[in-house]
Amino acid sequence: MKRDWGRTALRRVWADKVFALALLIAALLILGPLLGPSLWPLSPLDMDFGAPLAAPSLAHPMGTDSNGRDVFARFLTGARISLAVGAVVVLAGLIVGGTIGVVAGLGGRIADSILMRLIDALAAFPPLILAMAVTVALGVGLKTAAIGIALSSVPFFARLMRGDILRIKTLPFVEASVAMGAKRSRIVGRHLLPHTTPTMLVQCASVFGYAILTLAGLGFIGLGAQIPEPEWGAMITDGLQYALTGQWWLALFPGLGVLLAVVAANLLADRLEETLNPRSARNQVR
Amino acid sequence: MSPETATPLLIVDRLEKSFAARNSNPFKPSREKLRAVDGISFTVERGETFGLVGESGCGKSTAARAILRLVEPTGGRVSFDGIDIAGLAPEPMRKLRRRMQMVFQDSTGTLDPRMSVRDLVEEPLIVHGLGDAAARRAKVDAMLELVGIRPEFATRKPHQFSGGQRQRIGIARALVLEPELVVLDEPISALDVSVQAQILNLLKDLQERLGLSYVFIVHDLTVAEFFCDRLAVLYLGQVMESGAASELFSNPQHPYTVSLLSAVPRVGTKGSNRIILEGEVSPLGSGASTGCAFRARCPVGRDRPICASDRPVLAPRGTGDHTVACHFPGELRAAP
Amino acid sequence: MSGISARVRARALAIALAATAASPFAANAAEGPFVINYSLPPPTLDPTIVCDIADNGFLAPLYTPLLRYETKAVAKAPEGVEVTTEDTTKIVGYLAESFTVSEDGKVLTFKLRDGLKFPSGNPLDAAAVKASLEQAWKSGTCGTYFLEAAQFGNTETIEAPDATTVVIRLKRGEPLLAHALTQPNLGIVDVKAVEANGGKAWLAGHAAGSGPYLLADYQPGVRAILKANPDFFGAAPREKEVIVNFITDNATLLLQARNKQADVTLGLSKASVESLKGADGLKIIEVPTSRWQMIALPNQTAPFDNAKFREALSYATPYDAILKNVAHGYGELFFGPYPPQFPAFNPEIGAPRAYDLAKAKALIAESGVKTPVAAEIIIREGQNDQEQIATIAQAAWSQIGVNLTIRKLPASGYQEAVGAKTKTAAIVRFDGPSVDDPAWLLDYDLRCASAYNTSNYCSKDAEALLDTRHGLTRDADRQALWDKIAKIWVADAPRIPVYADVYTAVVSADVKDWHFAQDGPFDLNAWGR
Repeated sequence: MKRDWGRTALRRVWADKVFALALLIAALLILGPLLGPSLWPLSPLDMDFGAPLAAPSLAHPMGTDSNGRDVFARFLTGARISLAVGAVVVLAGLIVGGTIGVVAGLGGRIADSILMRLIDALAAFPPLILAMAVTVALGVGLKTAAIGIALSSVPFFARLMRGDILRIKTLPFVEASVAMGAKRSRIVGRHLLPHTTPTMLVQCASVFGYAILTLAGLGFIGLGAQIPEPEWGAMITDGLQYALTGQWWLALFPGLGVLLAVVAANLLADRLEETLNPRSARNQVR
Repeated sequence: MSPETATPLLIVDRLEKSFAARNSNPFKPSREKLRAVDGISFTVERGETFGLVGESGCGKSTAARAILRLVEPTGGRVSFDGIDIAGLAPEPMRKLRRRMQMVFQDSTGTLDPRMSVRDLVEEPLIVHGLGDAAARRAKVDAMLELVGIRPEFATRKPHQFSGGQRQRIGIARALVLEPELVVLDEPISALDVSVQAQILNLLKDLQERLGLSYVFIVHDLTVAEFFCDRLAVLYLGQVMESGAASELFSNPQHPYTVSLLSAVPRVGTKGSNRIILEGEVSPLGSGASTGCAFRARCPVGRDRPICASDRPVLAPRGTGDHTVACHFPGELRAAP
Repeated sequence: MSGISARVRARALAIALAATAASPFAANAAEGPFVINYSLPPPTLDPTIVCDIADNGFLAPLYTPLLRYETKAVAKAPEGVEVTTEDTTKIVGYLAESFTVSEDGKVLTFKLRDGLKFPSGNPLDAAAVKASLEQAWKSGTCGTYFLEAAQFGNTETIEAPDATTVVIRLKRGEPLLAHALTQPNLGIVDVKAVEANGGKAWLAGHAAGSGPYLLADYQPGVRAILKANPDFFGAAPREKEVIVNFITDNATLLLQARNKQADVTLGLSKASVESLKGADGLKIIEVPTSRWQMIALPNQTAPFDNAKFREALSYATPYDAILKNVAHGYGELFFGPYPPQFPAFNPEIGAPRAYDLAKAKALIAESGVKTPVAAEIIIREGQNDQEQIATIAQAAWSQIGVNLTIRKLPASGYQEAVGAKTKTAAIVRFDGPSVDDPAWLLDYDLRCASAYNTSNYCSKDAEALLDTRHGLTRDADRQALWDKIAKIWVADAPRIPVYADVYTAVVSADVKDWHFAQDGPFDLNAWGR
């Protein structure tokens, strides 16, 4: 059984070149920051005043910035930061939002109404504003930025989970579980939640991309990572002023990083959705 | 029917289940109620099969669920082995379920598509904490063999089996706990005719082997005749007629039973003796609170004032425990 | 601009569009308004509150002080532009037609011009001048400081014996007062008009002065439109209409300068200025000044109260690297209380300090301060040079166990931090005395009790020495005093002078005259095409 699934998965990936590309980018963006900083000899913080603003070369594949720091090293560390924040946001949002969704879906009309109105209130804030408000209230920095972004992602997860739970709990096998005498916790854990996996997985991929983009947005306006942490958004801000004086590499590479990460995340989300959704054309039995 | 005076396994006494009309305004709840089960009473002895027969919409599925407390009864009493079910707290109720199980009509939907057959059949054992992993595995394998599923297929998922096989799996799951009572909600209606016979035989076989009592819900009278010891005929949530199957089929008293039987094709008759009932079963708002529930379609009582004003009570008639709820029982006769 | 990502290009385009939309009055050749792009919006327009040189410079076109400095030509001016600066040795009358100082220095008498009026119509006579000076005197903020020339309590009275005479009587002669009276924050304010309009709060966003320009429109942080004052007593300003755009984003400043959308661009980062060298139609003006970039250390807050610790930090700062990478050569290194352009500067005492990490580490060990130390360093929004200096300091000092967190504050927050009585964080500051006199500088920067002491530096010995200055009249004696004080200062290392500034302005080829006094459009009436 497991072997079969593996082979079909591979076949599917190979057939869909875009999916393969997205996977490749994702793999690079995950492996790169995980291994890169240990493999690449240069440090993102070391300043070399002899060679500031150097154009890309073999020694510095992405050039150096105004303080002589290697941009490639900063790019890799920035990828690490974006990746970490993305993962944290997805996990936190999933756990908090998912729990709210489950409670709302199963808790009866009153609990559902109260919780959903709270979620509506949270969702009324534009995500960037909410993240900004949190960082201003709790102090500027990467940690609070992650909290703010996670908070703004909770409504996505909560609503989706609630909708799924409401749908699944009416399915016949849930009644069968009740009939056999299963406890509620078992029904939720063994029957309801596993069936929400496809939707939630897709949402995770999508929120991952959203988290990276919002973090870059915060970095762009000076919230989020602080000097000298090489976060992509902050690097873009710094690099912009040099765009006009001819040092194009300072803003371009982090910008590309954000772009590729978000595109890959969304492509993956898209393809995952098609693959896991039993009703999609792809999955119809021929 | 057993002449012993053992306590019945299941006593259903004036069971009721009403739903509020769907499109009710929360500020002005409609007083109109959908009486799905409108006061039915019967008993099930140990080891026998009791049938609930009727057309779609007569409330038999709801009754089945109400008996197992999968929906909450709104009136009457259900007593299982002397225990009043409605009065139980959630945890004791849950434990009691071990002794009363259900086989569903929809064999596909009631099996979680993500679980393997083994997991599905094993789940009741895990839920009730019976035995360790090895003991459970043995039980599951035995059960699967009993219903005719080869254990080596136990790792497959439900959608890889045929409809009949899935129903067997459902039966295995219901029986793995060795319950005393099994409620079967139209277990063969969704299956091909050829498969139906197999399943019925299996059920009968298992009943003898394991000493089960069945509440068998069915709309097909021939099946009822073959399978049930005693049965009740339902119309709009009320019992029209009840008694031993043989008695009912040979000597039906209620116009509804007669009409149903006349529709059953029998070898040797010409089929032109069918009594055709006009109208449809419509449980909602047919003014059935006064008078006989069947009066609107009854060729006997349609125009009789007493049928419109007085609800007939279940009264003995014929032999044994044959009872009929009709003001003019026996008037409608099937053509010979 | 090939190779730049679509994102950057889109952003640059958005900035360009926004900029063009925001400044519909782009400069046309020799006609139309004179456009100045300036990176430092003033926090307030109230002359008595403003203290920073940079913000002070913005008031100059609006308010006229009693006196002013004579001008002199600047040596290294680019071709086609006449660049002048202030000659701080010659003070002449401005609003006042003339002035005299009594023998003992205690009485200053100013002769005003007859028949002058404020733009509001109120008479600009001795009574008005007296009212304005008294308001500064009693303000309790920077105005008091300037009017008393830091000799608090020295002013006895301000009198207006007749319509054109104002007399200031002092307890003790103070030559610095004449210098102070040339500063725009002692410019004469139309007190009656201020009161009529609701008082000081109104003054923060409006002008009630008698300067060569009137404030026709002011959107704080966005733009100010100045129109020539037709009743100005002096020579009419060269440019009739001036638009000052406040643009804190360096990229926008640079873009507009390149596209010749401004006649004068002030406050560009030095890197950007360097990139414009040789650009067609633009000229770069360099003027060495007595202002400097510094990292002010909070001497009253541990561990900065430890002199060896401060000394260690001063050896851990990479001066040459900063001069090259931040100032791009537009600066001079030194280490002492006075910058090289200052009259009191002594190259033997104030020579630049070396960057010596080993020595810094040894000093840290000697100091007894336990590392790692966590500290904050504050920079002002819109100041790229400050951000770079802070980043470099952060990296450099982390090597001796001092970990800095960089806090970027907007103008008002930064002002608060700078004005706080006891400073708790290091601050990157660009500052210098309004008056190029050691006495003036040390009075505000050395005295323990001074609110404007940039580092809360307190040395009883140095202050005692400073007190003796009133008795010294000979230049040689005064220089000896300054040297003594400098030596103490260097040993104490109360702050870290990063580099003395060479002021840079970028002007379009049309500009023929440009005058430098302080940051900003100081003496704007002398600028023109």
